[in-house]
Amino acid sequence: MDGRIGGITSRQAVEVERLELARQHYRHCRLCERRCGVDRISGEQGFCKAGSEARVYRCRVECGEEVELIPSQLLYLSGCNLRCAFCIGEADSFDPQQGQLLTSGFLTQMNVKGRQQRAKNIQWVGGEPTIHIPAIVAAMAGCDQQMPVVWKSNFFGTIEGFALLDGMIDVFIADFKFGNDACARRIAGVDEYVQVVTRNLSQVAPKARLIVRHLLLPGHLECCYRPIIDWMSRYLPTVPLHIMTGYLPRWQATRHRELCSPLKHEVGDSAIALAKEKGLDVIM
Amino acid sequence: MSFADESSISEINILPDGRVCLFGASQQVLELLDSILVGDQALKHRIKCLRTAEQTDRAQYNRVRL
Repeated sequence: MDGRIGGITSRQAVEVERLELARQHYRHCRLCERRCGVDRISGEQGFCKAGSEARVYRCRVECGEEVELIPSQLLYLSGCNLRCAFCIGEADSFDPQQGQLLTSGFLTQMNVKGRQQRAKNIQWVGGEPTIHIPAIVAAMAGCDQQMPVVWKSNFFGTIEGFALLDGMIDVFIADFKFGNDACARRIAGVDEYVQVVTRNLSQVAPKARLIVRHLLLPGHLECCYRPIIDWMSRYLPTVPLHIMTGYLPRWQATRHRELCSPLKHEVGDSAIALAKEKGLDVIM
Repeated sequence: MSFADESSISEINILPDGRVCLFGASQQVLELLDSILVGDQALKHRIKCLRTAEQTDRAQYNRVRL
Protein backbone atom coordinates (compact mmCIF):
# COMPACT_ATOMS: atom_id res chain seq x y z
CA MET A 1 0.00 0.00 0.00
CA ASP A 2 1.45 3.36 -0.93
CA GLY A 3 -1.57 5.35 0.21
CA ARG A 4 -2.52 6.64 -3.26
CA ILE A 5 -5.24 9.27 -3.39
CA GLY A 6 -6.35 10.53 -6.80
CA GLY A 7 -3.31 9.02 -8.55
CA ILE A 8 -0.64 10.43 -6.25
CA THR A 9 0.91 8.91 -3.16
CA SER A 10 0.25 10.36 0.27
CA ARG A 11 3.91 11.39 0.40
CA GLN A 12 3.54 13.21 -2.92
CA ALA A 13 0.51 15.03 -1.53
CA VAL A 14 2.67 16.32 1.33
CA GLU A 15 5.40 17.32 -1.13
CA VAL A 16 2.97 19.24 -3.33
CA GLU A 17 1.62 21.04 -0.26
CA ARG A 18 5.14 21.98 0.89
CA LEU A 19 6.35 23.12 -2.49
CA GLU A 20 4.87 26.61 -2.44
CA LEU A 21 6.14 27.24 1.06
CA ALA A 22 9.59 25.96 0.09
CA ARG A 23 9.76 28.18 -2.99
CA GLN A 24 9.28 31.28 -0.87
CA HIS A 25 12.85 30.74 0.30
CA TYR A 26 14.07 31.42 -3.23
CA ARG A 27 12.74 34.97 -2.76
CA HIS A 28 14.16 35.44 0.74
CA CYS A 29 16.41 32.56 1.65
CA ARG A 30 16.29 31.31 5.23
CA LEU A 31 17.08 27.67 4.51
CA CYS A 32 20.36 27.59 6.40
CA GLU A 33 21.52 29.35 9.53
CA ARG A 34 23.57 31.85 7.57
CA ARG A 35 20.11 33.42 7.06
CA CYS A 36 21.38 35.56 4.20
CA GLY A 37 17.87 36.40 2.96
CA VAL A 38 18.95 36.78 -0.66
CA ASP A 39 16.53 36.71 -3.58
CA ARG A 40 17.89 33.72 -5.46
CA ILE A 41 15.39 34.06 -8.31
CA SER A 42 16.61 37.53 -9.23
CA GLY A 43 20.22 36.34 -9.16
CA GLU A 44 21.34 37.52 -5.74
CA GLN A 45 23.86 35.21 -4.16
CA GLY A 46 24.46 34.28 -0.57
CA PHE A 47 27.42 32.42 0.87
CA CYS A 48 26.52 29.19 -0.95
CA LYS A 49 26.06 31.01 -4.31
CA ALA A 50 23.10 28.75 -5.15
CA GLY A 51 20.38 30.02 -7.47
CA SER A 52 16.88 28.66 -7.99
CA GLU A 53 18.01 25.39 -9.56
CA ALA A 54 19.78 22.39 -8.07
CA ARG A 55 22.37 20.35 -9.92
CA VAL A 56 23.56 16.80 -9.38
CA TYR A 57 27.28 16.44 -9.98
CA ARG A 58 27.53 12.75 -9.15
CA CYS A 59 25.05 9.92 -8.93
CA ARG A 60 25.88 6.36 -8.12
CA VAL A 61 24.93 3.31 -6.09
CA GLU A 62 27.27 2.94 -3.14
CA CYS A 63 27.87 0.30 -0.50
CA GLY A 64 30.11 2.28 1.83
CA GLU A 65 27.31 3.90 3.79
CA GLU A 66 25.86 2.68 7.09
CA VAL A 67 25.14 -1.04 6.81
CA GLU A 68 21.38 -0.67 7.30
CA LEU A 69 21.22 1.62 4.25
CA ILE A 70 23.28 -0.19 1.65
CA PRO A 71 23.15 -0.43 -1.31
CA SER A 72 22.10 3.21 -1.55
CA GLN A 73 21.57 5.42 -4.60
CA LEU A 74 23.40 8.63 -3.76
CA LEU A 75 22.61 11.94 -5.46
CA TYR A 76 25.40 14.46 -4.89
CA LEU A 77 24.11 18.01 -5.15
CA SER A 78 26.59 20.76 -5.86
CA GLY A 79 26.78 23.83 -3.61
CA CYS A 80 27.37 24.03 0.13
CA ASN A 81 26.83 26.44 3.01
CA LEU A 82 30.01 25.38 4.81
CA ARG A 83 33.66 25.35 3.70
CA CYS A 84 35.23 22.53 5.65
CA ALA A 85 38.94 22.63 4.90
CA PHE A 86 39.11 18.82 4.78
CA CYS A 87 36.14 18.37 2.40
CA ILE A 88 36.50 15.21 0.37
CA GLY A 89 34.19 16.63 -2.30
CA GLU A 90 36.65 19.50 -2.77
CA ALA A 91 35.90 22.44 -5.06
CA ASP A 92 33.31 20.68 -7.27
CA SER A 93 30.96 20.21 -4.37
CA PHE A 94 31.02 23.94 -3.54
CA ASP A 95 30.16 25.15 -7.04
CA PRO A 96 26.36 25.07 -7.52
CA GLN A 97 26.80 25.35 -11.28
CA GLN A 98 28.35 21.89 -11.47
CA GLY A 99 26.33 18.93 -12.71
CA GLN A 100 23.06 18.05 -14.34
CA LEU A 101 19.85 19.91 -13.61
CA LEU A 102 17.66 18.19 -11.03
CA THR A 103 14.16 17.55 -12.38
CA SER A 104 11.39 15.06 -11.63
CA GLY A 105 12.27 13.21 -14.82
CA PHE A 106 15.87 12.93 -13.79
CA LEU A 107 14.91 11.73 -10.31
CA THR A 108 12.56 9.13 -11.80
CA GLN A 109 15.40 7.84 -14.00
CA MET A 110 17.73 7.64 -11.01
CA ASN A 111 15.14 5.75 -8.98
CA VAL A 112 14.76 3.22 -11.79
CA LYS A 113 18.52 2.95 -12.23
CA GLY A 114 19.01 2.57 -8.49
CA ARG A 115 16.43 -0.19 -8.26
CA GLN A 116 18.11 -2.03 -11.12
CA GLN A 117 21.26 -2.07 -9.00
CA ARG A 118 19.28 -3.19 -5.94
CA ALA A 119 19.50 0.11 -4.11
CA LYS A 120 17.23 0.18 -1.05
CA ASN A 121 16.87 3.94 -0.93
CA ILE A 122 17.71 7.21 -2.55
CA GLN A 123 20.04 9.45 -0.59
CA TRP A 124 20.39 13.21 -0.92
CA VAL A 125 23.94 14.29 -0.17
CA GLY A 126 26.11 17.23 -1.10
CA GLY A 127 27.61 19.62 -1.11
CA GLU A 128 24.64 20.26 1.12
CA PRO A 129 21.04 19.36 0.23
CA THR A 130 19.53 21.86 2.69
CA ILE A 131 20.27 24.80 0.39
CA HIS A 132 18.29 23.03 -2.36
CA ILE A 133 15.19 21.99 -0.42
CA PRO A 134 12.72 23.71 -2.83
CA ALA A 135 14.23 22.02 -5.90
CA ILE A 136 14.36 18.67 -4.14
CA VAL A 137 10.74 18.94 -2.97
CA ALA A 138 9.71 19.86 -6.52
CA ALA A 139 11.57 16.90 -7.99
CA MET A 140 10.11 14.50 -5.41
CA ALA A 141 6.58 15.83 -5.87
CA GLY A 142 6.70 15.01 -9.57
CA CYS A 143 8.25 11.57 -9.15
CA ASP A 144 5.99 8.62 -8.38
CA GLN A 145 8.74 6.00 -8.42
CA GLN A 146 10.16 6.92 -5.03
CA MET A 147 12.28 4.63 -2.96
CA PRO A 148 12.67 5.45 0.75
CA VAL A 149 14.48 8.77 1.17
CA VAL A 150 17.66 9.40 3.15
CA TRP A 151 18.78 12.94 3.94
CA LYS A 152 22.49 13.34 4.68
CA SER A 153 23.23 16.81 5.90
CA ASN A 154 25.60 18.99 7.92
CA PHE A 155 22.50 19.94 9.97
CA PHE A 156 23.28 23.63 9.76
CA GLY A 157 19.78 24.30 8.47
CA THR A 158 17.10 26.51 10.02
CA ILE A 159 14.04 25.30 11.89
CA GLU A 160 11.98 26.58 8.95
CA GLY A 161 14.10 24.56 6.54
CA PHE A 162 13.74 21.35 8.52
CA ALA A 163 10.00 21.92 8.88
CA LEU A 164 9.71 21.68 5.10
CA LEU A 165 11.04 18.12 5.31
CA ASP A 166 8.62 16.87 7.97
CA GLY A 167 7.10 13.56 6.91
CA MET A 168 9.09 13.38 3.69
CA ILE A 169 12.31 11.80 4.90
CA ASP A 170 12.72 8.23 6.13
CA VAL A 171 16.22 8.51 7.56
CA PHE A 172 18.27 11.57 8.49
CA ILE A 173 22.05 11.28 8.62
CA ALA A 174 23.67 14.17 10.46
CA ASP A 175 27.33 15.01 10.11
CA PHE A 176 28.28 16.27 13.57
CA LYS A 177 31.68 17.66 12.64
CA PHE A 178 32.88 19.88 15.48
CA GLY A 179 32.43 19.82 19.23
CA ASN A 180 33.07 23.54 19.78
CA ASP A 181 32.49 26.80 17.93
CA ALA A 182 36.14 27.84 17.73
CA CYS A 183 37.12 24.78 15.69
CA ALA A 184 34.03 25.17 13.50
CA ARG A 185 34.92 28.80 12.79
CA ARG A 186 38.57 28.10 12.07
CA ILE A 187 38.10 25.00 9.92
CA ALA A 188 34.65 25.42 8.33
CA GLY A 189 34.14 29.19 8.46
CA VAL A 190 30.89 29.03 10.37
CA ASP A 191 29.57 30.66 13.56
CA GLU A 192 27.33 29.29 16.33
CA TYR A 193 27.87 25.81 14.99
CA VAL A 194 27.29 23.74 18.12
CA GLN A 195 24.11 25.49 19.19
CA VAL A 196 22.56 25.15 15.74
CA VAL A 197 23.49 21.53 15.13
CA THR A 198 22.50 20.29 18.59
CA ARG A 199 19.18 22.14 18.33
CA ASN A 200 18.45 20.48 14.99
CA LEU A 201 19.48 17.04 16.20
CA SER A 202 17.17 17.39 19.19
CA GLN A 203 14.30 18.47 16.94
CA VAL A 204 14.70 15.70 14.37
CA ALA A 205 15.40 12.77 16.73
CA PRO A 206 11.82 12.32 18.02
CA LYS A 207 10.31 12.60 14.54
CA ALA A 208 12.33 10.31 12.28
CA ARG A 209 15.07 7.72 12.14
CA LEU A 210 18.31 9.59 12.85
CA ILE A 211 21.92 8.47 12.52
CA VAL A 212 24.75 10.74 13.66
CA ARG A 213 28.10 10.59 11.95
CA HIS A 214 31.38 11.95 13.16
CA LEU A 215 34.59 11.97 11.16
CA LEU A 216 37.45 11.80 13.64
CA LEU A 217 39.87 14.61 12.93
CA PRO A 218 43.51 14.30 13.96
CA GLY A 219 44.28 16.56 16.89
CA HIS A 220 40.58 17.10 17.70
CA LEU A 221 39.90 14.29 20.11
CA GLU A 222 39.64 16.46 23.22
CA CYS A 223 38.19 19.63 21.70
CA CYS A 224 35.68 18.07 19.29
CA TYR A 225 35.19 14.36 19.73
CA ARG A 226 34.79 14.27 23.51
CA PRO A 227 32.22 17.09 23.65
CA ILE A 228 30.25 15.39 20.88
CA ILE A 229 30.04 12.01 22.59
CA ASP A 230 29.37 13.71 25.93
CA TRP A 231 26.46 15.56 24.36
CA MET A 232 25.22 12.44 22.59
CA SER A 233 25.32 10.34 25.74
CA ARG A 234 23.42 13.03 27.63
CA TYR A 235 20.76 13.99 25.09
CA LEU A 236 20.59 11.31 22.39
CA PRO A 237 21.95 8.15 24.02
CA THR A 238 19.96 5.75 21.83
CA VAL A 239 20.67 7.42 18.49
CA PRO A 240 23.15 5.37 16.45
CA LEU A 241 26.58 6.95 16.13
CA HIS A 242 28.84 6.16 13.20
CA ILE A 243 32.42 7.07 14.03
CA MET A 244 34.44 7.38 10.85
CA THR A 245 38.16 6.76 11.16
CA GLY A 246 39.19 7.21 7.52
CA TYR A 247 40.23 10.86 7.65
CA LEU A 248 42.58 11.90 4.86
CA PRO A 249 43.97 15.41 4.34
CA ARG A 250 42.02 16.70 1.33
CA TRP A 251 41.24 20.06 -0.28
CA GLN A 252 42.65 22.78 2.00
CA ALA A 253 43.32 20.60 5.03
CA THR A 254 47.04 21.27 4.88
CA ARG A 255 46.37 24.90 5.83
CA HIS A 256 45.81 23.55 9.32
CA ARG A 257 48.87 21.99 10.89
CA GLU A 258 47.03 19.26 12.80
CA LEU A 259 45.01 18.21 9.75
CA CYS A 260 48.03 17.49 7.52
CA SER A 261 48.25 13.76 8.29
CA PRO A 262 45.84 10.83 8.26
CA LEU A 263 44.36 9.77 11.58
CA LYS A 264 46.53 7.37 13.55
CA HIS A 265 45.11 3.88 13.79
CA GLU A 266 45.21 3.73 17.58
CA VAL A 267 43.34 7.04 17.87
CA GLY A 268 40.39 5.58 16.00
CA ASP A 269 40.32 2.46 18.15
CA SER A 270 40.46 4.35 21.42
CA ALA A 271 37.78 6.81 20.27
CA ILE A 272 35.40 3.98 19.43
CA ALA A 273 36.14 2.28 22.76
CA LEU A 274 35.38 5.53 24.57
CA ALA A 275 31.98 5.90 22.88
CA LYS A 276 31.11 2.31 23.76
CA GLU A 277 32.15 2.90 27.37
CA LYS A 278 29.64 5.74 27.46
CA GLY A 279 26.97 3.32 26.33
CA LEU A 280 26.48 4.85 22.90
CA ASP A 281 25.14 2.76 20.04
CA VAL A 282 28.23 2.72 17.84
CA ILE A 283 27.44 1.44 14.37
CA MET A 284 29.37 0.70 11.18
CA MET B 1 29.96 17.23 -15.97
CA SER B 2 29.07 13.66 -16.82
CA PHE B 3 28.32 11.10 -14.14
CA ALA B 4 26.32 8.53 -16.09
CA ASP B 5 28.58 5.56 -15.42
CA GLU B 6 30.17 6.56 -12.16
CA SER B 7 28.42 3.83 -10.23
CA SER B 8 31.29 1.52 -11.08
CA ILE B 9 34.00 3.86 -9.77
CA SER B 10 35.43 3.54 -6.28
CA GLU B 11 38.33 5.44 -4.80
CA ILE B 12 40.86 3.45 -2.82
CA ASN B 13 43.58 5.06 -0.73
CA ILE B 14 46.24 2.89 0.87
CA LEU B 15 48.04 4.46 3.81
CA PRO B 16 51.70 3.70 4.53
CA ASP B 17 50.74 1.55 7.52
CA GLY B 18 48.58 -0.66 5.29
CA ARG B 19 45.18 0.74 6.18
CA VAL B 20 42.80 1.05 3.26
CA CYS B 21 40.38 3.98 2.94
CA LEU B 22 37.57 3.39 0.51
CA PHE B 23 35.16 5.98 -0.92
CA GLY B 24 32.16 5.32 -3.13
CA ALA B 25 32.49 1.57 -2.73
CA SER B 26 30.56 -0.75 -5.01
CA GLN B 27 29.72 -4.28 -3.88
CA GLN B 28 32.21 -5.72 -6.35
CA VAL B 29 35.04 -3.64 -4.91
CA LEU B 30 34.09 -4.70 -1.39
CA GLU B 31 34.21 -8.34 -2.49
CA LEU B 32 37.59 -7.82 -4.14
CA LEU B 33 39.02 -6.19 -1.03
CA ASP B 34 37.56 -8.92 1.13
CA SER B 35 39.54 -11.47 -0.84
CA ILE B 36 42.74 -9.49 -0.16
CA LEU B 37 42.09 -8.21 3.36
CA VAL B 38 40.92 -11.54 4.71
CA GLY B 39 40.93 -10.52 8.37
CA ASP B 40 38.85 -7.36 8.11
CA GLN B 41 35.72 -7.99 10.17
CA ALA B 42 34.02 -4.72 9.24
CA LEU B 43 34.31 -5.59 5.56
CA LYS B 44 33.04 -9.12 6.15
CA HIS B 45 30.03 -7.84 8.08
CA ARG B 46 29.18 -5.39 5.31
CA ILE B 47 29.40 -8.03 2.59
CA LYS B 48 27.36 -10.48 4.64
CA CYS B 49 24.58 -7.87 4.93
CA LEU B 50 24.66 -7.20 1.20
CA ARG B 51 24.50 -10.91 0.38
CA THR B 52 21.63 -11.46 2.80
CA ALA B 53 19.72 -8.63 1.15
CA GLU B 54 20.49 -10.13 -2.24
CA GLN B 55 19.15 -13.54 -1.17
CA THR B 56 16.01 -11.95 0.25
CA ASP B 57 15.45 -10.11 -3.04
CA ARG B 58 15.92 -13.33 -4.98
CA ALA B 59 13.54 -15.25 -2.73
CA GLN B 60 10.88 -12.56 -3.10
CA TYR B 61 11.35 -12.58 -6.89
CA ASN B 62 10.98 -16.36 -6.99
CA ARG B 63 7.84 -16.21 -4.86
CA VAL B 64 6.31 -13.70 -7.26
CA ARG B 65 7.15 -15.95 -10.24
CA LEU B 66 5.58 -19.01 -8.57
